[in-house]
Amino acid sequence: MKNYLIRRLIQTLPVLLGITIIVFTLANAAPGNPTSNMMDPTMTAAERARILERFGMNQSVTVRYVNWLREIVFHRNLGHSTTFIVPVAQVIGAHMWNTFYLSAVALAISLLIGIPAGVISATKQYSIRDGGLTIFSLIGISMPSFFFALLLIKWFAIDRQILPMAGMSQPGMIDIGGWEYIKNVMLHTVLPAIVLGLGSTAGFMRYTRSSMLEVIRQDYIRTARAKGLGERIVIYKHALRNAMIPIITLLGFWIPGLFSGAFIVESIFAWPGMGTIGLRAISDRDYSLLMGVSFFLSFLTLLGNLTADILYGFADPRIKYD
Amino acid sequence: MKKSLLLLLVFTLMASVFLVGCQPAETDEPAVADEPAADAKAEPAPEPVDDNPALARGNVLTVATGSLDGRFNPILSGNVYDTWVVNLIFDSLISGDPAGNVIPNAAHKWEVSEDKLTYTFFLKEGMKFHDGVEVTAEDVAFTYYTIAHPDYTGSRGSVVNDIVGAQEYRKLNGDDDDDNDIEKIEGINVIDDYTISFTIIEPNVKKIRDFWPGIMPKHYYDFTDYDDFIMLMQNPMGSGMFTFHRYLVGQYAEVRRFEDYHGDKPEVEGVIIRLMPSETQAAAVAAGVVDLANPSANLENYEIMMESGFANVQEFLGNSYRYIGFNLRLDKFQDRRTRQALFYGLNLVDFIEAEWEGFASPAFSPISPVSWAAPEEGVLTEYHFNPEKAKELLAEAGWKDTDDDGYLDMNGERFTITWTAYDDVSWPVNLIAVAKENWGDLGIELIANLMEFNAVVELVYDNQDFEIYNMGWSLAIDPDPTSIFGPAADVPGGFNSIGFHHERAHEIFKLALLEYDQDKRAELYREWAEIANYELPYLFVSIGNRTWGVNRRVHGMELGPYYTWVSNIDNIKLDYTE
Repeated sequence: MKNYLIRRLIQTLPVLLGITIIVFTLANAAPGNPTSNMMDPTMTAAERARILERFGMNQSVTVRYVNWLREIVFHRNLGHSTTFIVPVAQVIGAHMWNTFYLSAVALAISLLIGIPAGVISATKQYSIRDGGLTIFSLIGISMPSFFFALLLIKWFAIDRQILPMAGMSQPGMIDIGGWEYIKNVMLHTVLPAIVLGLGSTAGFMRYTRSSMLEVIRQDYIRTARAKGLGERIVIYKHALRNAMIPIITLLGFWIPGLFSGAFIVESIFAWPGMGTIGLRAISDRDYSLLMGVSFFLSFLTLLGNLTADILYGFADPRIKYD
Repeated sequence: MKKSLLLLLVFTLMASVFLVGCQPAETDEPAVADEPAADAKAEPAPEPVDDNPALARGNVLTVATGSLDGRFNPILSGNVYDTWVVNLIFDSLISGDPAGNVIPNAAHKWEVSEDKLTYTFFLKEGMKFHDGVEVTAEDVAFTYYTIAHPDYTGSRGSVVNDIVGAQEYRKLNGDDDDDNDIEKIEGINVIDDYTISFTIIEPNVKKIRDFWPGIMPKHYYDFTDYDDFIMLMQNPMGSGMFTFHRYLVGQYAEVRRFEDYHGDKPEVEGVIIRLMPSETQAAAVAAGVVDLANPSANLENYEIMMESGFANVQEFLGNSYRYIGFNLRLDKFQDRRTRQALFYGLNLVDFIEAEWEGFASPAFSPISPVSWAAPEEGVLTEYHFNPEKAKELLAEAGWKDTDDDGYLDMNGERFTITWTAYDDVSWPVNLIAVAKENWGDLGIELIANLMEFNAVVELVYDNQDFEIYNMGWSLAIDPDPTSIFGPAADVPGGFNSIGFHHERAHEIFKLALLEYDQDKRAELYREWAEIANYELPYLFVSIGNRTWGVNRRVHGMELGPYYTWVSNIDNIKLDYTE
């Protein structure tokens, strides 16, 4: 197991390097530069050029990439954001936990609804309930999140005014602090978490359903029934555990998702998360921030894959690493 | 099918049970409005509205913003919204009145020398920074030295570029050789604690407007490592009417009244500038969640805000315009009759009505009618839709359909135009559809080249590689057009990417910068407006309105193209329940 882990971690390095090269090249190939958005009529061409030089943009892409890499490897420094003009690590640090919190709640919602719904749908295949859940999941997959978000804002924040329409807390609540503040943040979480959560519920449900359908046709399920086990135990203890393996893969991919956030949902709800700064980095051509965010997320993706592989071992005793 | 719909309903209900369960017993969020919004539309409720949810927010003004970057520093702030926060916290030497004129602020008066090169400012005595230390001329000097610092990356660099010795200071202190470093910028002289003078290289009537950056306390901001200075951005301190209280990244900034302020203190106890996506800003005004917001000016947003019964809408013409720029280096656009024909041939009146539904008006010159330099009515040619006139002008310019293929041609080449447009907003895309038809009727083939905003900027300004493009200008208060139409701006990265060169116009730009009598200066700019109106370096599309939703509990709010809510924060009074 230890050797396996070390081997996997070493394999990760060239992949990570490759990702950064591709992202850096692509980002710089796109037209524009950090001053493109400074369309101030009082700004002269010379002043724009001076700022670009201060940002190091007068050097070639290769030189800038090598500098960027050197800073990371030797100084563990992701550079300065040109939009927020503070270190990239600080920008990411200020936003990642907000996103993590929102995504974790959303993930809990989708797992709590998605997996049981998938099980029901599989055990009662072709029933009305299965059909209903299938249609529901299709709606969940096809409904654009921005539309669903605006719909919920209209219903709950504008018409009924029982929930806040945007932000992460009511201004001033943090000064009161304590339980009041926590409750306030939770209240602000409800709408974005539902939009994010219901969007992925359908996916979990469909995966659980197809995986369950495969498993309950296996011989050992018939054996379990034959030896007189109750249906509930057969389904939830014997079948579900085996059916969870593909779901674990999905969860592995969700780890970076927990931090990457949902660009659209975060923007609509003005949620101060990674999605919001990711979008800003792209539209403002903030190369350091863009590289920082994508480096961080690709690292987490690789880590997520590794975690999923390790978790297989727990879910399925047949899988062993050496 | 019915069953599944039922199921969906069940899920929605389940969700709402969950929602209600989460609601705390007491919340500062607006309470449930008993009356449906539709009632309010029929008859606006009398003031003060009893069920106005904003009343519960106390004596604190809440303003919606589309963006907050946390760059709360007078010389580092990069957008309008961060600058709001800065202007509440910092005092500057000068400020502006509703008409856009420069008025005294921290400097109770200033003198300009005979040769117009030296500006001497006399500070008010007894002004205090938020930590109680007195404001002196040293702090003013420090502010301008920091802008000239070689590491400085903000966008205010041009403010010091014409001060004697500033460029040298930046260059010598920025190179690798430490021995040639200089301590002093020759043109900045502290005369005594309350007097400071600035000497510039050449006279420039606009110069006075360069003295608006807020005064930074030297004892607080002084640095050896520029990064340390940047880090103070999120904990700013000045001598303004409000002290910085809190910035929650990506959420809101809060300032509170400075009780030891030297002048008249504002009535409001605090201001919260809250991030609100532009899609929901009008709804936020309608729900009373914010007191003030500036959503895009259109009929839908206007109606949403007015129907609430809690809000009024203030509307005014912006100091800005939208346009289509011609690449004047190309043969086909060199004849002004061609450009005039394209203007006459485009049905802009109907387009403006359809696109902006009464929240924009036609433009015929590069000076907004709100400016003191705007030409009088009736002077400018109004290029209203006139296809016959357009055809005549094109024929005069030499465009004929010689091969009967339905398209005009000259010297064997068909008249085609490629339009480099950004599709981040809707109007360019919609206008292209109109132009395809209108110009098509004249025998001109239009090819649309849609891309993202940054890509347009690079093609148009950095590479000057385009035929026509669309863009908009938000203008500075001073009408000087040098940076947009001047000869020096026709360089890669400069804003005169259309290559506009007109002898008299450029002479006017120079003369106007040396003319210290505003009436005479206006005269010159009126002549320039007529030249631009005749020569048409741009095809002027429209001037947009600005709309601000203001909650009815706010009194004394005076908004205009040159006057923001920050400028008159000291006049604002709020109704509120204790």
